[in-house]
This record gives sequence, structure tokens and C-alpha cells, in this order.
Amino acid sequence: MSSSPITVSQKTPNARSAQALNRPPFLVRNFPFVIVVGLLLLVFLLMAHVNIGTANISLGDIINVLTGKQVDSVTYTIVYELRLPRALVAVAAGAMLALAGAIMQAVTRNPLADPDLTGATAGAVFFAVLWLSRDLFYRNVAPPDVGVPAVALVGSVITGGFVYILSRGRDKQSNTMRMVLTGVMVAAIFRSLTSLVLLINQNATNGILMWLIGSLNGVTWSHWGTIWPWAVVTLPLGFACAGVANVLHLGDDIATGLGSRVELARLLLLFVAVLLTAASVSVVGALGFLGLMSPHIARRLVGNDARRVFPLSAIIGAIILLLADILARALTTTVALPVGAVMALLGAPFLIYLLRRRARSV
Amino acid sequence: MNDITVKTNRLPQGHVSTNGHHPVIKAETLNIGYGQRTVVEGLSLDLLKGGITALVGPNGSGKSTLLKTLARLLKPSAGEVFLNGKAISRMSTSVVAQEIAVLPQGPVAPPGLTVGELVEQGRYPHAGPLKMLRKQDYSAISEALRLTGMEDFTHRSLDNLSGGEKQRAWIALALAQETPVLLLDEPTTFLDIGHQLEVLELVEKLNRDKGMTVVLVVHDLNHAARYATRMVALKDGLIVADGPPSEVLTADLLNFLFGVHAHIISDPETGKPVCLPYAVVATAEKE
Amino acid sequence: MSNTVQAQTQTQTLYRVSRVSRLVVVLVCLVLALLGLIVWGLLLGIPQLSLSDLLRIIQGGGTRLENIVVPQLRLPREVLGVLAGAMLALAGNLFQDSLRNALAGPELLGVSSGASFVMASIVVFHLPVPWELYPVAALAGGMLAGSVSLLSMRRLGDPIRLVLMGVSVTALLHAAIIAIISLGQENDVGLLFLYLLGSLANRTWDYVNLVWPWAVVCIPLSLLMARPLNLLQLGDEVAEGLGLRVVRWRLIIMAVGATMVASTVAVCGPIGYIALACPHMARRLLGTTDARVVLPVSMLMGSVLLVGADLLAKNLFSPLEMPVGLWTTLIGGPLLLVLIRRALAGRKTLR
Repeated sequence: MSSSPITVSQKTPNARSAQALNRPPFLVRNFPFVIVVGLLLLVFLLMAHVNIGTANISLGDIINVLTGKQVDSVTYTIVYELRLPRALVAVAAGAMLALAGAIMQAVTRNPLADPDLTGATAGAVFFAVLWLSRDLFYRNVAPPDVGVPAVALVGSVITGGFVYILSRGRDKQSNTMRMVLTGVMVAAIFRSLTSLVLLINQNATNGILMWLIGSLNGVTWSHWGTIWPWAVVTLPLGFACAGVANVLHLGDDIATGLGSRVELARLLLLFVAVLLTAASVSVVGALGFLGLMSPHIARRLVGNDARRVFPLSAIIGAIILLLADILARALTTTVALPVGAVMALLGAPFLIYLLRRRARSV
Repeated sequence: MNDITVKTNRLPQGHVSTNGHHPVIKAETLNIGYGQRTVVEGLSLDLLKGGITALVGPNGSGKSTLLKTLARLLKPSAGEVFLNGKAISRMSTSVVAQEIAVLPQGPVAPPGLTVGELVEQGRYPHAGPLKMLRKQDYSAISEALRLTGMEDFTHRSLDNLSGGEKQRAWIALALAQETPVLLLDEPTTFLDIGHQLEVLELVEKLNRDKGMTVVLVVHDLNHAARYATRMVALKDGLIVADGPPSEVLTADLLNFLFGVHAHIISDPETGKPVCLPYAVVATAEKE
Repeated sequence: MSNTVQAQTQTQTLYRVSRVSRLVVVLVCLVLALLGLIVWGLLLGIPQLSLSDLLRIIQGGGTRLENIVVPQLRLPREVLGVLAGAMLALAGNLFQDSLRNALAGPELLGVSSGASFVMASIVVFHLPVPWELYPVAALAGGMLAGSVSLLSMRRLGDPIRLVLMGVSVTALLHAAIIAIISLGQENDVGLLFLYLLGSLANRTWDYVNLVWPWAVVCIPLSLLMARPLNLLQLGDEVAEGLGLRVVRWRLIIMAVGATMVASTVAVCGPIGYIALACPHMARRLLGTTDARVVLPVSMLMGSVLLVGADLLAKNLFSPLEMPVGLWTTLIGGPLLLVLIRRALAGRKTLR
């Protein structure tokens, strides 16, 4: 007994939509354009940063100072000694932290990762605090006269290495989940140790407070001197690793199948992320959310390719930090609000936005 | 080529132990969707007592969605499911759990859980959160273990079992609920052939010996044809065929549902139809 | 046929006996340990007491100082340790089982930070909240923060996503707390440690009185939720199919958990890692995930751990007193790390 024929009409696909699917979006095709726009925005904000503040500096004054023309000493001090280094450090630190975040998100294959997972941030703060309290421990021996940023740098690299080694299993292979968990735990432990030291040495507390959330207050040319060599070395290094990150993003098995030495690749990327984080944190403090936000924005604009996301994240990071610092200085006149507090304020709505996106997507 | 004609075959007479013509589960004009996406639209289905009904169809046709809605795991946006004449949405969850047992796809148990501990949970709808297990609960548990042949495995951890044994343990959980209806969502996917037959033969035994009404979603059409008394084929959320396997499993249906050319032969052992797909229907042919 | 049935029932009873005896042994050990630690805590400190001194004080003798120190300072501190430890451990169980996620814990979900944030705000800004309502205010903060983390989850089973979202929320609140405190006065800075670490120092009966009503209500409630917890462990669909209203129960369970955490934070600050570690340890000790036995063991373990950690915090660097949260993090953090690494070694997914 055969059944009657069954016919159902088929919908012909919309011709235009099929074509649209095959072309990459506008921003991706015109990526160099995006970069140029970003850089222009950056320069503009740089100028604005130096411009805005409690003292009135005009654009003309800035140009005068930069070109070496004669200006009164007050203006000179403000522009050259205070604001310019601060703005430049903000650019460098913002770019480096953002790139570190982009790298961590690529390595852990998780868009919620940030540089704190390397343990470098917590390590930097701990070693800095320890160093600032050294008077308590060294009574007779005169410790070497090293700046706090240097100590923080060394400390964060050590901590980062420690996390990496811990996250390696019995088979000497690291593993994304282990890395994340180890990073979170180690960071928590170091934060507690930091509190312990602060408890013993209550005097250091006030200075440290700024460190704990990140601040650009009191940044001088010496800070710039600490950070710019690292920026010049690690930023290009990070950009160059983008290809490696792309392959790693596909998953360990596929990456190995494509000929990538997964372990080495991860180590390299982590190393760069730690350096980027360490250098920034040692100068600016434990600034959060840049590493989380910037790559997200970059990915929204230009997609997932690390070769585009990495440079764009860096630019966006610098932009965000400049903006946040402008806000921080504009909002308060008497109390010097640390830029980290502003970042936290920005971070809250961003987290909520992230939430709603996650909830909508499967 | 443009109009839609869907013919549903009449329900076959002579079901296994028919209880009048009142369906145990009756779905009426169901619209089910996830968010904006509507997966099933205007679907109606009557399930009479005592048969084994297989839901088949291509991926995304709505079979799992339909099964979950029948089990009250999903809420339809329109239409209603009736259980013994009462609207299922108005019944309390534990009452439904005493009438329908459902085994979802790919269940995961916490590590270290033993078979006994798993099956014990099946008494929850009867015992409730606070009551201790009574004698009838323990006898239901042992009966469930006996029917699935898992008594020797009572204290074995689920992690250490093979695929077929694990699935039987989960079925024992469903059996401990002592319901007249059993719904299974792809119970044989990811199992090897031996374990697949193990599970299907168990299902057949339950239907035969305990008179349970079974509805299961299967991918393998031949398994469906061999073990089910009724096949319901879905495509794009609509029922396109409904009847005994001999009537439903045809070359035309396979062409329509899956886009394949197939031979239909008769199984020398059981006399049931067996399909042998041999080629994909080329795109040009489809138009 | 009857022989095998006999043998089967024999092995079944044997098994049941061995399971029950294991539970009893563990419970007895924990209770003894707890009592021992409490007594020790009463003895240690300045002035240092001996057992005979303690007995004398109980009978009504002893110096005036001793009669103030022991019942007014040391005893409430121990009692608070017992209650807070129990509630934290239970909360950890509730979160982990209902979310089917071994890493769910109040500190990782941001609940602790939310509660601390509210408390820090109240103190620094001198908000007019009455003392008795501190736990309620803390609860509001904790629930808000926790729900932010939780809403980020589509598939509850993914541990990394939950951890990372919770870490982000915690970091946000951490920065906010520091910012708030930096806006406060000089002497408020010491509060930094209170609200970031957790401490049982100087807790008198007033503090205990604030907490024990919550404990008396929530602890039995948690223990009663063992069966729904067991069902939830099997998966949302299976649980629903077995007659459990998953959404409703999950909300109730998490609300009770958050309440317990919040009342602890309101009184002691955020004490970390007890909620995360105790459930794991209890499960390993008992060899089962059955909530009906794991919950009471976990609860006792929490009390033991907290009282023990407090002992260390108070006496190790005497006369300097460390916040107990420091110890729980320093000990609990690595411990948890080891536990999780072992768990990951065997499996691909975390639970």
C-alpha cells in the first residue's frame, strides 16, 4: 500500500541576503581606515588631555611648549612636567593593558578573560607593597636604591612565571582551564598577602590605596622612562604574535593538526601578556577593566581575527584610558580621584552590557 | 510545485491493547518555539495507550521539541497538551511526574553517583522532598532495577559503566517513577550497535510486559521500523506521515524528508520494512 | 535462586552498614575536633589559661579579669566561629549543587563582595541603617552582585564562564570598595581590612545576637533541601521530569545560600574559601555526592575550619592579630587548587 504523494512548496532564498553573507563587513574590509581613524582620535584626545584641567591651558600654549617657544614657567610646568608625561604614560599603559587582555582572551579562548589571570597584577602590587615596607624588615642593611616600578616589574614577572609553572600538569602540558583557575587562586592569595603586609605596616596604606585600583596621579617623566622601552618592545611583539593566537583559538587539537606547537605558542603568548601587564602595572597600579573591555569593543568592530583585534585593542585601550583620566581630572577639583575608580564606574555598565549580550546569544 | 498538501495517514486499527479511543496524551494545535524562532506550528497528535511510537525526521524538524513539550519540559506558546483529558499545564509538576517519565538526551550524572543512588531519585514525585522512603518506594526501586537487569550494578558508580549499562541505569530511574507513560529522547544516539539493541529490546519488553505507553525519538529509521508500532515523521515542525512502519517507511517519504534515494525491502527475520539509502538526491532533481 | 537473592541482600546491607558507619565516624571525629578547638580557643590568649583554670571559672571562681575575658570575649567569638563557619560551608554546598558547578562559591560569584560593598558604604557614608538590619542590607548587596554573575550564564554547566564573570563582578566591587574607603576619613582606612578580608576579632555577644536568628532559620532549611539538591545534580531536565520545579527551587536554594553568606559578611566581613572548599572536602571524605549526608558533614567541617583558622589568626603572631580571612585564603586557596587539579587530572570537564 503506497502512500499518497506529498508535496510541500519550498521557499527560494532571498537572493540579496545570500550575497550579503559573502562579503565581509565594511569595517573589516577597510581596516587600515579604522586604524587611521583610531590614531587620529588618539592624538586628538592627547591634546584634549593636556588641555583640560583645573588650570586653563590653551592649544596655542601647548604648541608653544612643544616647539620650544618661550612660555611662562607656570604654563611650562603644567604642560611639560605634569600633563604631558601623564598623557603619554596613559597612552602607553592603556595600549599595553588592552593588548594583554586581547592576548589572554585569545589564549584562554574565553571573552571574559583579562590580564589579572596571569597573576602579574596581584604579584606586582604585592612586591611593590613589600618593597615600600622594607624599612620594617631591613633595619641594619641598607637596601639598594631601586624605584618601586622596577621592583613591581620583577615581582610581576616572577608571579606570572609561577602561575604558568603551577598550571602545568603532570604531563608538562598546560591547559586552559587550569591556567584560569590557577591565575584566579594565585591572584587571590597574593592579594591576601598584600593585605597582610599592609596590616603590619599601616603607614604605607595611604600611598598604596592608589596602587590597588590604579592611578595616574603624580606620574612624571621618570615613569615614562620606565615604561616606554617596554612599550616599544612588547607592543610590536604582541602584534606579531597575532597569527599564532589565531591558530590557537581553534582549539588545541586542531591547532596541533595544523602544525602549531601548542605548548610553545601558549608559553610565548603568556610571556608577552605578562610583560605587557607587568610594565603597565608597575607604573600605573592595578588598573582593571581595560584588558576586558578593549578587546570586546575591537571584536565588535572588526571581527575575530587577531591580526586586526590586537592592534585595534591597543588603540582603543589608549583611548579609553585617556578618556577616563580626563574624566577623573574633570570631575573632581579637590580630591584627586584615581583613574581606577573611573574605570570601575565605566566597568559596571559594561559588565551589564556583556551580560545582556550573553543572555541573548546561545 | 507551489501548494502545500500534507496528507496524514489514518491511524491504524488494532493497536496493542487499545483502551477505547481516548488518547492518553493528546496534543492540540501546538505552537512551540525558542525565543523568536517557532519550531512547531499548529501540530496535533493523539497518543493512544499501549503503543510504541517513534518520532522520526531530519535534524531540526522539531521531534525533540515536541517530545519535551509532551513531557512538560517546554511550554507551548499556543495550544495545549492533555494528559488523560486534563490540561497538562494546569497540573502540578509532581502529579505529571507520576504519570509521565521522561529521559532527556545525554544526561550527565555527578561523579561517584552509584546506580542505586540514581534510581532512588525516581521516587521523588511519590515521596516528595521531606518524606523518607517507604516500603513501596523500595519495592519500586528493586523492580526498576530488576526490569533493566541492573540489580548487580546497584553499588557500582555510573562512571564505571559502559554506554549501554549507563543508559539502562537512567531508564531504571525513569521506571522507578512507576508511570504508565515513558518518553525517551534519542536513547540510542552515541551507543554502539550492541548497546543500541540492548536498550531497544528493553523498551520493547517494557511495552509488552508492563503495557507502558512509550514514545521515543530515534534517528535510525530501521530501528524505528523494527521496534515501533507507529511511526510519526516530522519535517519543519509539521507531521508529514503517521501510521504503522509498513505504511510510513516508503521511498517517497525518504526522498521528501532526507533528500535520499532508497530501496525498501522486507526484513527476512521480522517482516518489518528496512530502508537502504543509496544516493543523495541531486540539487537539480529537487526543483 | 534464593541463595543469590540472599547474598544480594547481604551485600546490600553490608554496603549500607559500611556507608552509615563511615558517616558516623566522620561526624564523631568532627564534633570532637570542634569541641577540642573551642576549648583550646578559650584557653589561649592573654591571659593564658589552663584547663583547671577554665573549670574553676565555669564553677564560678576565678579572677575578675578571667570572668570577663572568657564569657564576654572568648566564648562569643568561638560561638560566632561555629555559626559563621557552618553557614558559609552550607552556602557553598547550596551554590555548588544547585548550579552543578564545582567552582561556584560566594566569593567567586561576587556575593561576598556585594555584601561587603554595602557594608563599607554604610560605614563610610554613615548611612542611617539600624544595626539589626545590617544583615538585610548586606543581603541586598550580595543578591544583586550574585544575580549579575548568574545572569551571564546560559548553560549553567560551564565553570570557566561563571568564574570569570564572578571575578569581573568581584573586581568591580573591590575597586568600588577601595574607592569608597579612600573617600572616607583617615581612621576609616583600617576598615579596609575588615571589609576586604573578614575577621572575628572583638566580636562580642552583640554580634552573635545579630547572627543566630538567621542561623537558626537557615541552617535547618538548608538541611531540608538535600533531596531537591540531589535531583538538581542530575540535570535540569531530568529533575523537572521527576517532578521538581527547577526554576523555583533553584531560586529558593540560592536565596537561602545568599542569606547565610550575607549575614556572615554583615558581622565578620567576607571570609573566603570556606564555602568553596568544605563541600569538596566533605564529598571526598564521604565518598559520595549525596546531599543528605554531605550537608551535615560539610557544615561541621566549616565550623571546625573557621574556629581553627581563627585560633591561628588570634594566636600565631600574638599580640598582633591577623584577620581570619587571611588565613582561610592562604590555606584554603592552595588547598582548593590542589583539589581541583586532582579533579581535572581525570576528567575533561569539571563536574
